Amino acid sequence: MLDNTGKKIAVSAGTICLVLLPAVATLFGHDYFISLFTRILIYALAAVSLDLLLGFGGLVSLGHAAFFGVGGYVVGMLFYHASEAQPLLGVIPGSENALIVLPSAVLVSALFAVVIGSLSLRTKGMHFIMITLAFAQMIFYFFVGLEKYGGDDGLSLYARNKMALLDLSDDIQFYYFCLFFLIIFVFFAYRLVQSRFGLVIRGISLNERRVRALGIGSYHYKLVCFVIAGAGAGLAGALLVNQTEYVSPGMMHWTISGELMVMVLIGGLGTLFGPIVGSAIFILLEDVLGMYTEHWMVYMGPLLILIVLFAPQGLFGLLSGKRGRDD
Amino acid sequence: MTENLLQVHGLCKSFGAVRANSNFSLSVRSGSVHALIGPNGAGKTTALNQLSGEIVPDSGSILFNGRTITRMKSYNRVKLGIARSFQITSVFESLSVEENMALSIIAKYRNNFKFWQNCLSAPPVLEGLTRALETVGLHERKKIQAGHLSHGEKKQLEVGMTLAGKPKLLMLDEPMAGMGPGGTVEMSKLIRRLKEKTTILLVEHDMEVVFSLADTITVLVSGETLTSGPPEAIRADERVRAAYLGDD
Amino acid sequence: MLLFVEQVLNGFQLGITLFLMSAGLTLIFGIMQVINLAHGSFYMIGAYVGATIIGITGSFLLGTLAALAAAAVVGMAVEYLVLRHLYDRDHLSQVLATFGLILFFNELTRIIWGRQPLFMDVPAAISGSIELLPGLVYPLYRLAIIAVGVLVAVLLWLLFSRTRIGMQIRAGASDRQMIAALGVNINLLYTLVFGLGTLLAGLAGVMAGPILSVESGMGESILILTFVVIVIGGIGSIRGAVVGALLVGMVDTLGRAFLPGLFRLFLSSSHADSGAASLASMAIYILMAIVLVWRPRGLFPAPS
Repeated sequence: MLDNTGKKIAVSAGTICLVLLPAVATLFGHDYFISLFTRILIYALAAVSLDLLLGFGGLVSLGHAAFFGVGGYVVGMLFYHASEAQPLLGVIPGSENALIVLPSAVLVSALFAVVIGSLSLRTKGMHFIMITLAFAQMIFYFFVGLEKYGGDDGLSLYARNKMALLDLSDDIQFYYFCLFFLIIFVFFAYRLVQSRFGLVIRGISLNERRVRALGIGSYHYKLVCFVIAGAGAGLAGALLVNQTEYVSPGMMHWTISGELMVMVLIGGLGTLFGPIVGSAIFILLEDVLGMYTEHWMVYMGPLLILIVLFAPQGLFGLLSGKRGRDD
Repeated sequence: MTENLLQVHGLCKSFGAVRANSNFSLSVRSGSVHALIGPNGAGKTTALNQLSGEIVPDSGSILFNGRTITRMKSYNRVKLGIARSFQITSVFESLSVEENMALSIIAKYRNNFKFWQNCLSAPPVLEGLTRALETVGLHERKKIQAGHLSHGEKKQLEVGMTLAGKPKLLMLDEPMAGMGPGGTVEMSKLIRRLKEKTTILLVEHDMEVVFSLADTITVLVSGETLTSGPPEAIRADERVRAAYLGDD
Repeated sequence: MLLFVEQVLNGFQLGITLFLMSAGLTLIFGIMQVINLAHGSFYMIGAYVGATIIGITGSFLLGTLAALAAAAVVGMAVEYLVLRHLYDRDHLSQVLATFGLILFFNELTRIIWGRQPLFMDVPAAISGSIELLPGLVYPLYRLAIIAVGVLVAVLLWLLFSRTRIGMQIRAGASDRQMIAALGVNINLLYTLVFGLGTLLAGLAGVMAGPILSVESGMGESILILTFVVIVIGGIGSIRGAVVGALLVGMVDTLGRAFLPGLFRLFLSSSHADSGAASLASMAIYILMAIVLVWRPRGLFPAPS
């Protein structure tokens, strides 16, 4: 178990590694690592946003991939309408400008989160888990049904978004672009968790009944938390579609929600840096094990069960000695 | 005669076939310590839950400060000035003592959608935190996780949190439960001090405590109000004795 | 009109399959308060084992029995090895561990049976069709599914209303402390309930085999529909499972059948078809949202 200083050292070391990674990879000629780690950064962003719900808000949402996918589709659809030079629904012009596209992705996924959250949060516990899953599935089918944007097959983009000063089609610049957003989001989340809002949210996750007995109506706090998390996932989805230049309903398949949860768990529930570690481990495992066997999931499944049964704090959680929930 | 702060009339509540309260009535005078007693299973906790708004009664009415609150949501009742502590201590175990107290302080404010400033340096917390912690004698322990406090300290913290909202009516659900003799004395002292500031509705098993603290006692049997009166009258009441002896 | 009757029968048949899935799962949720994502895996196991045994022996009956046995045995083993250790844990742990089970079972079936879907033949004895009404020809096999489902529903009803163990289970679904107070062996009861639930899932799987293709991951699409059924019906309620399953089966089937026609009345055909297809596949979720706004705990909530 590390004390606070140890934690700070671990976090700084991790940050330095991430900053230096492209240089080192280029030096040794492993350019592949840059795109692999870009993917890790993007999934880490989605996982951190999910951890705001799972770890800090105590809200077990099994539909987080829906917002991830919605963010991605905003990029895809705006790109499509820009290249066809034909406005969406006759009014909204397409765009390839990252400074327009990314904020739109965040906004639209936040709007989806408002609708889904305001309905789902009327319930608790098992109902909430099933309902978030079901709504995510509904959005999944909605996009499968959109023939215009490729339906089941999805939509290919011909290029990444553009912006002044940066060339996002360059993998190294795109890597730093993603790292920038991850750092910004984690810093925002760090302030959030310590803020008045964060204190209320943490209280709700520990003992909602007690929070209400103190005179705080919990519903709107949970909704805002849900929306912030959804917006974060939307941003991550928009970045992923930029990286792969491809979007499909597969992005919001429910197993993606499950995998994001697994990343949070492996790294450490209720920590901000845990999910980053978790997404790195998950994606590297997928990559490495995937080289030896196509059936790596058959090992991942039992491993996951063992982690749940024996190390529920996760890796970073073990290091920082975080305690479990109260109830 | 002082006015009644809380006026409960004919509350009924059933869970399926089980009748928890029938015709539960109660009048609590402003500034008094009012005890609610009764044998096990008499429906005291259900009664308290209806007063705090966690359970909605099937019928009957609750008047607080002249206002009908029978169906009001629990957190809105708190805003009117009804606060409760729980039978089982329910401080937030994995938050620090100061965070616990800060949460109860900001609970008064409608808008806690502040996302940036640290909760401990928010102005209302800065103003009230130290005094609130000193009132319950936990200022030196403020950095400690609440889960690591002793049972008595947790109870003190809990009462402190309940007080932070400056309630008009404080409902204490078995504050002496699980305390040793020393803790009981401390808690009795604390309740006497609180009596100066607020009206108290006390649910308690320890009869010695009840008879030494209460101005009025209401006896609940099988979910129904049997009688109400000053301690001497209750002590002398044959029906009360019968109810307790019959239960044992 | 005949088309409508036919689609209603189809909806009924989907509803029956969903009922078999959700009856077991709603009990598991209600009694053990454990969220189990892996229920679809037992549906898949039933389908695979059934298809394999039928392929070897040529007997549908043997295949079905093997499927039931496999689903029940694997189910009870999973309860004993994994689920039992999760009853006291929070929902998140349960979600993650049962997600692990899904990953494991899906990949295991790929290893054993490969990536190609299996196809099951309808048993010869009921492979034909029957003219139900003048002009309405309906496959016998689908009628048989409906019959089996109704039979199971009646048997469950008898189990829960007439037998001692059934009453204990029902009592447990609405009040966990109560069965403990009655001195029932909880561990055994839990394992049995879990086995019963997975057995029903296996039955649903083997019966769906000839209609759908048997493939890895087939359990999850039905699992999510099952969740919708349970949310609509209310956790822990068999009656809710019946009503929810039939509602979802009907809305889904009728929506897919008739929404395109309805849309063509107003829109050009290409727009109508893609819009209707989208809306039809979302219909049950919209139904769920409506129920949710109206009664957040489902149509037949268990008393709290």
